[in-house]
Amino acid sequence: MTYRNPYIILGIPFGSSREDANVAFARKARALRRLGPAGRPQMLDLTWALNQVDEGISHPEAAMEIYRIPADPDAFTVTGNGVLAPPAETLPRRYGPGDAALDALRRAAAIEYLRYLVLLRASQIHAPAP
Amino acid sequence: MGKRLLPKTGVVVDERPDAVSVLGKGGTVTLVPPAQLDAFPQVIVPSPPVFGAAGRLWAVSLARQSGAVKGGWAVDTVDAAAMTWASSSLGARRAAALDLIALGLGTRAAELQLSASELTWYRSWHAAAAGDLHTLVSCLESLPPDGYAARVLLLARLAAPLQADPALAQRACVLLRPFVATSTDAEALHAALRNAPAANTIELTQSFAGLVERAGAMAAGTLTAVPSAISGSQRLPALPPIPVPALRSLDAYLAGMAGMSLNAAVPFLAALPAELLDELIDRGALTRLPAGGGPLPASLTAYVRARTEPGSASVEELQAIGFTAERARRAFLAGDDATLRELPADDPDARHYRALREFVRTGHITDPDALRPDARAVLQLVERLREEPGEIPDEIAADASCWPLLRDPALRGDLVIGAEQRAKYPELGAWIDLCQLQRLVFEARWGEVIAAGRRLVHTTRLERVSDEAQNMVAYAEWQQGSAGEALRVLNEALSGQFTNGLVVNAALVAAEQGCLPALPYLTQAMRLATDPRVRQGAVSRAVSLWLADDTVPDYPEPLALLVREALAQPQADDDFYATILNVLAAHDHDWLAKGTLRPHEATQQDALRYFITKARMITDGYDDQIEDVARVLANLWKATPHPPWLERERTWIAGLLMEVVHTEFGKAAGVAGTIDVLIDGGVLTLKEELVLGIQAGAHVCFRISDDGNEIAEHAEQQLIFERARRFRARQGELTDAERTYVAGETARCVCMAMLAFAISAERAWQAFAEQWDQLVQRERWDHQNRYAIVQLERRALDEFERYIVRCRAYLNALRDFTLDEPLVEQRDLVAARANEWATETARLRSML
Repeated sequence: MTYRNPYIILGIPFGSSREDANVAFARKARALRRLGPAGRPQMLDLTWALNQVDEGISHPEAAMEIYRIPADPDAFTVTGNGVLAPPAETLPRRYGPGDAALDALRRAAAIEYLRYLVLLRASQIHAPAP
Repeated sequence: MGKRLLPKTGVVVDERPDAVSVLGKGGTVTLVPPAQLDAFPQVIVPSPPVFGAAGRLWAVSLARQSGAVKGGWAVDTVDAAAMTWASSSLGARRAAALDLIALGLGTRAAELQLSASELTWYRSWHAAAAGDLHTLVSCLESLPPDGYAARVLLLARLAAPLQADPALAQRACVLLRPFVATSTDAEALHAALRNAPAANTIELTQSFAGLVERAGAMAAGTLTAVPSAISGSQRLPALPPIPVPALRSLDAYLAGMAGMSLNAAVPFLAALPAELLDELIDRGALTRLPAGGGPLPASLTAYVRARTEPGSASVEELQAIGFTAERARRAFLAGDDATLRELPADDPDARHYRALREFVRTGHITDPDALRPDARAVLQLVERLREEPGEIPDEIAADASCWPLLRDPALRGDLVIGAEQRAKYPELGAWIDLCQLQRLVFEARWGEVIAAGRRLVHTTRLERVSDEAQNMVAYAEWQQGSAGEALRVLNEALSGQFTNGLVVNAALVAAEQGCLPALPYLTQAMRLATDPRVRQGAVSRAVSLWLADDTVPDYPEPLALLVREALAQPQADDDFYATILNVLAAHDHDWLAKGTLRPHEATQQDALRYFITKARMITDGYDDQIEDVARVLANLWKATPHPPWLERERTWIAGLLMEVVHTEFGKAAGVAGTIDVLIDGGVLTLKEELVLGIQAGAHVCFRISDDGNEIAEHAEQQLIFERARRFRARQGELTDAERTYVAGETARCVCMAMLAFAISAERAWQAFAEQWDQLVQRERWDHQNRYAIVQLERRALDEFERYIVRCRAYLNALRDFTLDEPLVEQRDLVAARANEWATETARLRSML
């Protein structure tokens, strides 16, 4: 078959940028030049492929006439935490033991209850004689 | 009273066992036996309650003064009587003092010769009864600090309003303090009103709860259970029905420390200090805050968020609590060097992330001391593996974030992963295999791609990896000429979850069998795509595949459905929208002509209107003609700039008309109206206008002549001579090539119009000859009317000579044009004939 895929000819993933295409072209062209005249047909292909990526494919995602490798770029995307993808840092504890704070809270709670009690008590007390 | 018919009201001012003295109108005092008085109707005097007889008389006086009670007695007399009563004993004076205060006549209490303290106490008492807290506290403050112990009861009865007014509460505390040691009520109220709890608060609460419980005859524990629980740090059995944030927070804290999750109870933690929140976090009872933060103060919310869910804390929150590590981490992940630079230079966390950022940027460890030890160790292993690829250390295998750094050796196949490691880190194994598979594709090693790809499909449980491997296997099969197998493999990959890329690839392979197999995939690709450009690409591809497929001449139904579905969705690209409408106008015109399609964008309304007209032009049941299409086009052409699709349609209709007019003269007369519409609308280029205009004129002239008619002189002027003149006037605006072409077209059309007219002239000559002969014959015998006959002959000659003039006008119009040889011949024939006619008519005229 005569189907030509510019990305595969260049050896870069589908949808790669022009910059990536230029780098890939330079690398492959160097190797082909070493072959001399034998590498000329491949050189033509390579040049065509670079031109396609540079000029012919403005929106790769909309290009329906190019076989996509990868079809799913996320299949190559590694996910997971690690040194270079650190998870959120957790703030270490900044405050000391809570004994004193708990005592204060208990007293504050007792006061709240005492305030409730004096309200109940108010209804139990009769007015003194004048 | 008495024997009067009208009743009168009196007031009792004195009372003895046998009679009471009733003061009446004018100061008259009537003695009335008690039994008789009892029989009189009583008058209700509106007044606060009073204690003594004096108070009663003062109340009556006040009522009479205010008009509430009618009476004719003198107020002074009643007041004197009241004062007499008030002075009768110490008890009467005290009662009178209270009554004066109650009646609002407190200033007169001094007349009663009581001590100032006693009067103040009475005022306090009265204020307490009236709920006048401010007066009560003020009066009590005027009393000796440790006197009048009953003040405790007055204040205790008003505990609720005192609690509600912090300023008064503090003044009440001062008033209560001398009695704290001797009165439990004073001690409890004093503690309750104080700002800060005392050391013995819990014990006091416990004992006071017992007192209230007993006084209220409540079951044991009804009130004492709560302070007992507080004392013992146990969950509270009940909460009072008033706002008690500290009690709620204490209870929630105790619950959290007992193992209960408090994530849903954050609103109850309002009173917890940071120390206790820390304990709950460490205990795992609090692991997140609600989005809004809940009732905690902002700084505490930021702190708890940073301790529980640091990723959800805002940058402002991180700044507020000085949490540099998380700020640095975020700046690192975002590649935000500016923020990283702003962070404290010597902060170890900031230094770590700056060093990490340098590693990402340069690919090398530049500041090892700044890195945290564990990170430094892993990155050093990565550096070593990149320099000497081989077996992947476990530390790297366990750190997925480092794998992309090894992409190149992975693509080269230089990384080694053992079976044990592969089992432990299946994602790493799959990733390496996939990288190697892609390398084989790039090297066009199709057989190896198929073998390795199938192996990977069988070994991995990751569908995403499996799909991608199948994608590459399918490509290899396709490259080897097995499009069927390639499509089968792709269909297998498409059976579960898949990406649109896979569908596009399937469409591409399927298209090798023709457009029809590809259409379902492209329809699917269009439906799956979220990017409008991808949807557009799928539709474009489907249309172009069909146009290129000679085996499917008719517009296929699946394509029609795909295009209609695409148009039902909003189309962001106006030009693409118009392009698709054009396809419909040509191939699905029956459907488009119905006009059921609605544009999603206002800018697409014009295109839709135009293409519906265009569709109707070729659809049965509609009257629209090409002239209607031209009219819509000319109308849209008025607005500038012209959208690309309109330019294309202009080119299309001009080209179409060019084709139509370049046929046998006379046959394209029907498009003359369409051409006029386009010329009038300024739609055509100058070249098109000049060519189509003169062509239309020539076709009309020929059609008229063919029909045996003769073109009117004014029409001839407009259709031929005006247009020939227009060419002469504007030829300078044309390029050389255009000018040559248009000149040739103009000359040919003028020449052909002249021929058409010459035919009419020839018919006119024949008719003239017959008429002339008849007139000459008649002249021979109708001598009587000879003058009239000569007049007729002269008129006939005049009329025909007009044809000669018109022929010569054509010849004149052709004067500057270079004609082809056949046209030269035609022109010369007409010129010769015109000369013959001129010679003959001159001869005939000379005989008249």
